[in-house]
Amino acid sequence: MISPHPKPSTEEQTTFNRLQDAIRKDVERLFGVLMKRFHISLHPGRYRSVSQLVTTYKAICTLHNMCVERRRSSFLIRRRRAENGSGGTNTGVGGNAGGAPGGGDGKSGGAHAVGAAAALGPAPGGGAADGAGGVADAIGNIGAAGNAPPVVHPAPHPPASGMAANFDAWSEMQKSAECESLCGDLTVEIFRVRGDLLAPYIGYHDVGHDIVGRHPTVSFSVLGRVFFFPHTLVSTEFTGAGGFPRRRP
Amino acid sequence: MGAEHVDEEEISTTAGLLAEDDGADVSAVAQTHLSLLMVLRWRARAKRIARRRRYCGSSVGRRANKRRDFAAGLQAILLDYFGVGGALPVYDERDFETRFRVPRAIFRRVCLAVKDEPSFKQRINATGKLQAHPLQKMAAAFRVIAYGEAADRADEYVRLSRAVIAKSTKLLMEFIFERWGPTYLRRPNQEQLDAIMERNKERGMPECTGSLDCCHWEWHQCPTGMAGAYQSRKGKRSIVIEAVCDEDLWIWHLFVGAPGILNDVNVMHQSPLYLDATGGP
Repeated sequence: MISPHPKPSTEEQTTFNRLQDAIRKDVERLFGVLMKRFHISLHPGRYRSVSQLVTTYKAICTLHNMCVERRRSSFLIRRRRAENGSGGTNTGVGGNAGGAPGGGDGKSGGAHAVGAAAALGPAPGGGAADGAGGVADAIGNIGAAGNAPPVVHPAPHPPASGMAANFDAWSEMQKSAECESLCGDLTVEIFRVRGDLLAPYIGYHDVGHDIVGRHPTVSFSVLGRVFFFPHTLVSTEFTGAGGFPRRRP
Repeated sequence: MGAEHVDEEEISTTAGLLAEDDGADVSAVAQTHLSLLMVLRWRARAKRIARRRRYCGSSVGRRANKRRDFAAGLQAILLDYFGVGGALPVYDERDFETRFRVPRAIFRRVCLAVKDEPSFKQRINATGKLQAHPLQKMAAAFRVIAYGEAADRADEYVRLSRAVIAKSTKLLMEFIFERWGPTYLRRPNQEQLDAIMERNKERGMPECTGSLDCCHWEWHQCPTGMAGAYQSRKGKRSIVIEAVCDEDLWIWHLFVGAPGILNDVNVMHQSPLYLDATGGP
């Protein structure tokens, strides 16, 4: 855990502060992007319980990570590849140490001046413990694509097969008529669903009731009322039992 | 009416029983009678309580259901964003992402995962009418989280009531977190950590695993009793969110829900990341 020098005086300290700010801006950007993307985190939360707030925020962050995962293969990596000239130094989640970090001379110029930078902590847990081992492995497969020749023009660069199989986002992006396919799925479902929904009720009619379960409901409630009707119980229980002194006027 | 006849006889003999001072039987019977009455009363009460549901639906004395045309809402969404009958949708990809804040592929993933959930599945009511389609509920829920708007704002578009939209938002959030949270909010494994550190080394910070910060999310409906704990330094009730992310804005660590009175260091001291890194307090 490192923090900037409060009053940088020397050249080293100024450089350190500049580099530290460069890393630190990431998380500041993150909150900015989250608030702009999902305005629910911009406005005061209108839930009654903390747990509800927590669930909502975590779900938003999940969606955000999904968006990042989708975007990452398109923008930042391409820019980095264009900068570096060869083998993408694809950091991110891809777990792709790629080829050797080709360029980066201009960026890491000040690294020698600053020796001190501590880690946030020892590797916080193994990722496989989270039950997402399969996904992590599949994402690790993207390493195969990392050594591809540089792509300067914005032609999409397909990830390795393991990654594409893992989430279908990429393949969907490649489809020209994606919205039509989605429309097709949904319309099929809409017109299929009605029959499915009616099926159990139609099966129910064979018992002899009228259409759509209305009469069964009513008769059931009538049954319930009869069953709990007090006089019935009293008469059945206690006339046969004998010896019950009934009060008479 | 044999029962009645027996009953008459019993009554005539009751005086005799009392006269013989055989109190045990009588008191036993009276006791049974009383307990029966208690049981009956309890059952009647339980039934009354069980009948008192929150959503009574269409019953006498309740406000009538509005004539919302669910199919019209679904049709509008399909027409605007997905196209109907092979026609192109009215709004293109850019608009789609502006409105729903996620790319279409992600929306589709969520949609396909959620459509068979019992709480989202399209149902049919007692009169045989189709209820709301999952796509409507999803569109409304995404409006709520994307624009932070009130639940009934999307009513006129998706044709769902405020209660349904609020409930489906809640359920969708829970579903997304339970389904994809372990995947997308996982911790990095060693390989990924090495990659992050490699990248940060290039940027001038070797051995750096990410940047950490806290931010406050204001809580509008904080109960007054909890206001002391949740009051942030700006005088608003809020919860604190701690996150660690990398250059791509991928969130590697998230800790939500610390009360707003804590400052960033205190939040960090109780976050799972710090506790794991230092081996507990």
